[in-house]
Amino acid sequence: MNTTQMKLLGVWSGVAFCALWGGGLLLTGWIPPMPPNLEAEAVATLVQNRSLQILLGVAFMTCFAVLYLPWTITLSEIIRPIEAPGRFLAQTQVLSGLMAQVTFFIPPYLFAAAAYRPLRNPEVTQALLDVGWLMFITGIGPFILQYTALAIAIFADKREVPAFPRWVGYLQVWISVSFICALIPFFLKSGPFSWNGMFVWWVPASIFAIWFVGIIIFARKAVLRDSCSEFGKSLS
Amino acid sequence: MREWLVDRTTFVWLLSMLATSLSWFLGVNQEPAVLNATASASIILITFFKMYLVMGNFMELRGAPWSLRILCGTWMAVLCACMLTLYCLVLP
Amino acid sequence: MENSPLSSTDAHMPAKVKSVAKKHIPGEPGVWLFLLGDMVIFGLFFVVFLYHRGQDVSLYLESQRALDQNIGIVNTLLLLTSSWFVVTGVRMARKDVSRAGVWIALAFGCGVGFVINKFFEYQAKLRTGITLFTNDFYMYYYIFTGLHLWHVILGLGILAYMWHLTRLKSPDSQSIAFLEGGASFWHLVDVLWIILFPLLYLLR
Repeated sequence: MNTTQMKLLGVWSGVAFCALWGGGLLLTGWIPPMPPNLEAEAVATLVQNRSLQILLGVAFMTCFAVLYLPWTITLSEIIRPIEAPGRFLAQTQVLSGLMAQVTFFIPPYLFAAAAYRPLRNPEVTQALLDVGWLMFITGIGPFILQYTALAIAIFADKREVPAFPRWVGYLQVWISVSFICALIPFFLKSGPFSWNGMFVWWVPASIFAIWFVGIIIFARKAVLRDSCSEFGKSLS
Repeated sequence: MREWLVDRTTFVWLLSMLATSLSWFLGVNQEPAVLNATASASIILITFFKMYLVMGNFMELRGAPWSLRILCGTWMAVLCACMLTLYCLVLP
Repeated sequence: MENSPLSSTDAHMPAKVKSVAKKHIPGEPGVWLFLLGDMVIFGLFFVVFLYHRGQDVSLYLESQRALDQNIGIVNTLLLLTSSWFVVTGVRMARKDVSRAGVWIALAFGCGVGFVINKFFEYQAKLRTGITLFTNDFYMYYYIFTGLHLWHVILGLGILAYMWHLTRLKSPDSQSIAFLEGGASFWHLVDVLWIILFPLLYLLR
C-alpha cells in the first residue's frame, strides 16, 4: 500500500467515525442530552426505561471512538510538508486530537455504568451521568488546540497550491474561539448555556457537524493533490 | 495632521459619540424598573443607526463588494426587526 | 500608494478616481467568515435574551437596576474612540506606515481601559453578592459581557501584533491585509458592545 492509500484510509476513517460513533450516540437517545436539572429520581427512571438502548449505543461509541485517530493522523500528514523538516505543528495536532478523542471514548463508559445496574441508588446514577456529560460537553481544550495548530499550519502554508484554502484557516480560528462557550455548563443547570442548552449543544454540534463534512472533503482533495504532485516529482 | 483628522471617519466618530450620549440620556432619565416604550424603541433605533455608521465607515463596508454589504445589511436588518418585535411583545 | 484606489475612507481622493475605485474587502476574505460567524452567534444571543426577558419582564427590570450605567457609557465611549483611532491608524498605514503605530497604541490603551473598567464593575457586583447564579438576568449579564470581554482581550492581542507590523519599514500586502482584518475585528468588538450596552443597561 502506498502513502496516498493510507492517507485516504484516514479520511474514510473520519467518515466512519461520524457514522458509527455518531450512530451510537443517536441510539442512546441522547440527542439532545438529558437536561441537567432533573431530580435524581427522574434520572434513575429515565435510565431504567432505556437501559438496553443506552448500553447498545455505548457499545458503538466505545468501540468506534478510536476511528477519530487515523483521521487525525491524516490531517497531520497533510500539514507536515508545510513545516518540514520540523514536526511541531503536526505532532501538536495529532496529540491534541488524541486527547480530544478521549472525550469521545470515556464518557460513554460512565453512561454504561449508569445503565448497567439501573436499579441502584438514584444519586449514584445521577453522579455517574454528571461526570459523563460534563466531560463530554465541556472537554473542549484539546479540540481548541487541535484546530489552532491546524489553523497555524494553514496560514503558514506558502506553497503555490496550499493544502487548504486560507479561509478554512479562518474557519478553524472562529470555531476555536467560539468553543469557549463549552466551559459555561460547569456553572449552570438550565437555560441556553447548560450542557443541553442551545448555545452549548445545538449551535456547536451543528457547527461541528457541518465543519466535519467540509474538512473531510477538503482533506480528501488535499491527499489526492499531494499524490499527483508526488507522482509528478517521481517522473522528473 | 489636519488632513488626517478632517475626514469622514472623524465626523462619524463624533456623530456616534453624540448618539451614544443621547441613548444614555434617554436611558438614565427614566423611572427605574418600569417599561418605557418610547425611550426604549428610540434607544434600539439609535443603536442600529450607530451600527450602520460604524459598519459602513469604520469597517469600510461602503467600499466593499455587494455580496458582503448584503450579508451585513441583512444581519443588521433582521436583528433590528427581531429586537424591536420581541421588545414590543412585552408591552401591555 | 499615494493615489491608491483602495482607500475608501480617504476623503481627499479626486471624485473621478473614487467613482471607478475597485470594490475592496478589508482584510483577507476569510476574516469575514470569522466576523460573520460571530455576528450570527451574538445576534442569536441578543434575540434569546429578549425572548426570555419577555417571559419574566419584572425580574429583568428589577435586576437591571443594580447595573452601573455610568461605567457602561464610559466603556461605550472608550470603544468608539478606540475604533476611531484604529481607522485613522489603518488609513495612515496605507500611506505612511511609520506614523500609524501611535494610533494603534492609543486604541490599545482604550482597550486596556475597557478591561480595567470591567474588572471594577464585576468586582463591585460580586461584593454585593450578585453572581452568575443569582438569577437569569445576571446569568445573561455575566455570560454576554464575559464573552465580549474575551473578544476584547483577543482584540488587544491582535492590536499588539498590528502595532508590531507598523514598525516594519515597508509592510507587504499580507501585512496590510492583517492590519485591515485586525481592524475589522476590533470594529466588530465595538459593534457588539454598541448593542450589548443598551440591551442590558438601558432598555426598559
